[in-house]
Amino acid sequence: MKTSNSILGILIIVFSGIGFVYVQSTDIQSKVGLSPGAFPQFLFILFALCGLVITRESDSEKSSDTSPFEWKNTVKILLAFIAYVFGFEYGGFLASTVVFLIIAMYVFNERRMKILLMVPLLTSVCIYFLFTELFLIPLP
Amino acid sequence: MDFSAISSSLMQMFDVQVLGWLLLGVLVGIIFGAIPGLTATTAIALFTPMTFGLNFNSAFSFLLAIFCGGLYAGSIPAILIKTPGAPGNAATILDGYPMARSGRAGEALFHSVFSSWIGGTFSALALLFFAPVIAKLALQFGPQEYFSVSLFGLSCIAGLSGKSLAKGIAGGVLGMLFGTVGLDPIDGMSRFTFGQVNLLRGIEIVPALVGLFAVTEVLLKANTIGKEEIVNIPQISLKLVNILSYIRLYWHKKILVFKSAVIGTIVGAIPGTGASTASWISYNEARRTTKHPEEFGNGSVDGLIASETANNAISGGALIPLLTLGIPGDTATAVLLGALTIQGLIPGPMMLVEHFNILALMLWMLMLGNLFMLIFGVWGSKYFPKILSIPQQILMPIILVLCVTGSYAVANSFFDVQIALILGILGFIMVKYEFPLAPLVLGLILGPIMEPNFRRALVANQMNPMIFITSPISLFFLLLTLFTAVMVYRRTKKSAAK
Repeated sequence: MKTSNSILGILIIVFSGIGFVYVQSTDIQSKVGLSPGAFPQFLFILFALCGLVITRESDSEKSSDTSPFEWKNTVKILLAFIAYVFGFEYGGFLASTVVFLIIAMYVFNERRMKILLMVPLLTSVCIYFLFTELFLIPLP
Repeated sequence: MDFSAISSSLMQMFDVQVLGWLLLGVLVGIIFGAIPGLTATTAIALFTPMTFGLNFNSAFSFLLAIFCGGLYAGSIPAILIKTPGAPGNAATILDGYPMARSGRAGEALFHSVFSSWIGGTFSALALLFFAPVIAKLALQFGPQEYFSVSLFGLSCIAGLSGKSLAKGIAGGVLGMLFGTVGLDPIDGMSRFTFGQVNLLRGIEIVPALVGLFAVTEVLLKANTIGKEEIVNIPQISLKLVNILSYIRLYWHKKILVFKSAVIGTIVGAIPGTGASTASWISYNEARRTTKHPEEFGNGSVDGLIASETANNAISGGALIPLLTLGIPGDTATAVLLGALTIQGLIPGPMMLVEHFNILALMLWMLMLGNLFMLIFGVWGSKYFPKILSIPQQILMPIILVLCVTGSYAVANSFFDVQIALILGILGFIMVKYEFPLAPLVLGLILGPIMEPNFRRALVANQMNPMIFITSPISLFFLLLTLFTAVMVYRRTKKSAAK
């Protein structure tokens, strides 16, 4: 965590610098009062200052998280979720939701075949009915 | 006080559909609140888009009932398995868990729901009495006053920052930067849209909150796959004869109960604070003034009553700044702001002046919601361990599905779903690197209020910044902001010295 804070702080400073320069280059003078870019520029300066303090915090910061983080499972869920978000747009609600639920439940360690098949089907149909008939919200 | 509006609003509540949504809302709120990591805010964020097709009475009965049920239900895992359902129930562990360990789980659960009912009902009445007064005062607010109030709200970020003040402020600043995306409110120029038409309307608050709270939580829960602990949940026994004796106790503790309800309501009304602040202040105050401080932390009923009464009392209190100024009192009311917009309402003093009946309706929604919460809480206490046993491998994927459908439902926009995804990933990264999320939410809501009012105040006064000081109300809030900043600085220095 000590090294992380240094890197984070530097990233924040770099991001703030890029943002500040971008706003300056695209800012247009307002006809009245402060320009549209004034507030974002102020915020980027403040963000950079926070980054500076966070970098210095690395010396005294103690890590509270001692257990190893299971990145594999998080990445799997995230990839499945990203695929679902785009599948939802191009494949429609029902098909994409059934497929996503099967994959996600499997990643979350569900191994019972009956549950893996029945729950996604039932859930997708119930949510579809809930949204379209009860809440009157059309789904793709 | 328009008593005819109050009585006609009560009549409107006795509609089968409205009562049905109220009951469902309490149930949903209890389920979400009882599962650690899922909070009332998450539930409100997930279900707000679904209220698009409902009328105001049904929509807000549902959402406010989720709010009441969710705030209370976090005490269930706090008492039974020493894990708070939400930060606002952390203080409940100190006395609730020892009570459960010594065979008094039923008694602890009863006190938690009964105290919550008292706190929630008290704050609902406070909302009815104080909101019109503040709304009348707010009619005199100009842009300089709105700027100072929102700056004060932002200063409370410090209280939400946890271990690192710099990380809390950075989160708040990032939230304010997100708030600048879209069209500039004064000149109408586009900012940070990068040619994307969808970004012209800015970042929608509901998909943002769905991503930050619900998606982030599921991604964090992925870490626990295969590491689920088997927890022993104590036996729960609650007999009618015991219930009556517990209720009689509240008359003897009326001063403690009243004080806790007042603390919760006032803290809830301060923008940027929330249930966690309220319950800890109330708990510490009860411990300070009790004749038996040695009992606190060892199963003291007073400690449990103090924390839970204040925890639920924020519900009405947090609605006061939301309805009168359009500034949310906490993160849950930040989502309710989105819900009001979906219903075509713009919160602020004019809304209360023109639609007093909305305030009266909310009073009854909170009163009845808290009543149903009490009934469910007492009757359902022996079933609560089943909520804690809901398989995560089924629940978490379903929550992600609700995130997608809920975000889409706000504006029938796939872009909003992508916003929820992106902010969910950002929220996950922030939590992993110990950046608190609440300041980001606060910045996202208050930034777009602060900036245009600051600019308008300057423009209206020939760019003279003295207007922020010459206005008495503005000066008052600026001094409060300074006071908060000094208190936070001293507290930070004290912790650093330790």
